[in-house]
Amino acid sequence: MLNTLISVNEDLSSRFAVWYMGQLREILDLSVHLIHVTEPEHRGRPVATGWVQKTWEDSVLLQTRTWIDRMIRAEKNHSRILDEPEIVSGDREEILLHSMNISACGLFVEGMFHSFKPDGFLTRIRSNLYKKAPCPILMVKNKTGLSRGVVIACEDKNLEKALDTFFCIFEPSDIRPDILICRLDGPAKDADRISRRIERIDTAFAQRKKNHGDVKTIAGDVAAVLPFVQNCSLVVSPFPEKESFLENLLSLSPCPLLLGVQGPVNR
Amino acid sequence: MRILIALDQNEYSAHTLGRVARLAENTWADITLLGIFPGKSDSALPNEFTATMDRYQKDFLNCFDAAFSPYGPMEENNAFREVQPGIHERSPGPGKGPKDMAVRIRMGEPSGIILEEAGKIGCDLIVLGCDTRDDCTWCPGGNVPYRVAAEAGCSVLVMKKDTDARRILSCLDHEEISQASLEMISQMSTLFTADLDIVGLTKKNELKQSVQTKLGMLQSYYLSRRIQPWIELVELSDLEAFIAGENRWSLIAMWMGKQSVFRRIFFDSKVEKLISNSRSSVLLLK
Repeated sequence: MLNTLISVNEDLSSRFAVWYMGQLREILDLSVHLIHVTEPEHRGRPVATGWVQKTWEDSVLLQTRTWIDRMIRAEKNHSRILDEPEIVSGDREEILLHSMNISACGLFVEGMFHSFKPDGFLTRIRSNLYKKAPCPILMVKNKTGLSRGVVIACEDKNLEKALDTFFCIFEPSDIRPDILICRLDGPAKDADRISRRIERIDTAFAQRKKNHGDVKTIAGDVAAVLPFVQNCSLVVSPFPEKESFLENLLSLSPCPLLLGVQGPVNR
Repeated sequence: MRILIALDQNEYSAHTLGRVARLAENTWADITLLGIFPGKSDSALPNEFTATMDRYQKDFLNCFDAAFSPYGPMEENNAFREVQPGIHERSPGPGKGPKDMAVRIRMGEPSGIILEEAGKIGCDLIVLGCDTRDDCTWCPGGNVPYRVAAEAGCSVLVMKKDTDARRILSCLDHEEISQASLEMISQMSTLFTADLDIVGLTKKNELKQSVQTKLGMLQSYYLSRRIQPWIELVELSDLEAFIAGENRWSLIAMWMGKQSVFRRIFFDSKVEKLISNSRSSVLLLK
C-alpha cells in the first residue's frame, strides 16, 4: 500500500486534489492522510491573551475544520476519502516535511491553480518543500478524470528518472503511458539514438511485464511540445532543473503533474 | 430560441451552415436564413443570388435526418417573392416542421440590414461567417462582422474557418453568469468537439473566495455534461496578453453584458482587433 499525504487549504484547488486522489484510489492501493497546516501569520494578530486567546484560536480551528469537512463531504462521492483530516499549526514546510518523513509517505499531493503567468508555479517547485520532499509530488492543477491518458514527459538526459518516477507510483497499475522525449541532444533525425531510447523504454516496461503507449521524440521549442501535455489526465516528469526547458514546459501545462524526487527518497 | 444566420455569396457563409445546423438540432431553435445582396432595394433580385440561397437552404436541411428534422422539407418551385421593396421571402409551404424556418433575401448595406432584421424578429443569436485571410471583412460590405457584434442587442457568433485547436476559451463574468450563456457555451463545446478553458480572474494575484465558489460551480456544471473544463487563472491586467495567444482556441466566448468586466477591458477597438485578427471564432454573449 502506498502512503499518501494530501495537504489541503480552504480553496478550490484543494478540492481538485481530494477529487483526483479519489480517481487514483480506483486503480491504486492507497492510504490517504489529509493535513491542513495553519501558519501563525495567517491566523492574524492575537486578539487577546490567556483564555480569550485560546477560545479565539479554537474558533479559528473549528472554522477551518468545518470548511475541510464540508469539502470532503462535497467530494466524498468521488473521492471516497473518509479519514479525519489532521489540523496543525506551525511552519508549513517544516510540518509537511516532518509529516512525510515520519509517515513513510510515498506520495505528497496538493492542489494548485494553473495560471497564465507561471510565477506561482515556479515559486512552489523551487521551494524547500519541493526540493526536500522525500517522495514524488503530485500537483493537481485541474479536476480531470483518468480517461485522457498519462504522458511521461522528459528530456533525453533524464529519461530514466522519468521512468523511475512513473513506476514508483504506477507499477501496480495497468496504465499504459505515452512517452514524450523532448529536445533530443544532437540531430533530431539520428535514428540510432532514437531507437536506443525506445529500446531502453521497452526494456524497462518488459522487465515489469507492463506495456507503454506511443513514444514520441520531439525536437522543438516549448510551443511545439506544449500540445502534447495540454489535454491529458496526468503528466509524469522528473523533477525539473531550475530554468530548464522542462520547468518551462510544465509551468504551461494545465494538467495534473507528478514530479520525481529531488532529495533523498523514502523507500 | 431563434437564430439568425446572415449569409452573403462567399464561401465563408457556406461554411457556417453545417455547424449552425448542429446547434439548431441541439437547441431546437427557430431559424432565419437571411441572405443579403449588396444592391439597391429597388433593383431586381439576381437569379444567381436566389440560386445561392437555394443551395444554402438545401445544405442546411441536408444536415438533418429528414425523418427527425425539426424543419419542414424544402419545396420545389417555391420561388422568392417580393413582400416589401428590397425584401424577398419564400413562403413556408404546407410541409412545415415543428420549428420555424424562414428564408429571406434583403438588398442593401449588410450590417444595417442584419441589425434591423435581428431586432424585428427578436433573435437570441446572430451567426455570421468570415475569413481571417480578409481580416474578417465581408466582400462587399467591409467590416460587417465587427459592426454587427458591436451593435447587436443579442449574442453574436462570428464563425471562422477551422483551426487545429480543439479548445474553447470561456470568459464569463464571475459576478453575473446567466444560464443562457452557460448553455450556449456548453452547446459550442459540443459543436466544436472541444475542451473548455475557463478563465478565473485574479486581482493582485488574489483569487476571491466568491470567485472560487463560482469557478467550482462552473466546473461541476460542465463536468456533469461530460465537458472537461480546465480552469486557468489570469491576472486582470494580463487578460489582454492572455487572449492575444488566441491560436490556442477554436472559439473565444466572452460575456459582454453591460456590467461585464470584459466589456470594460475589451472596449470597441479591442473587440474589433479580436474579430479581425484572431484565427479563433468569436462568440460575444449578451
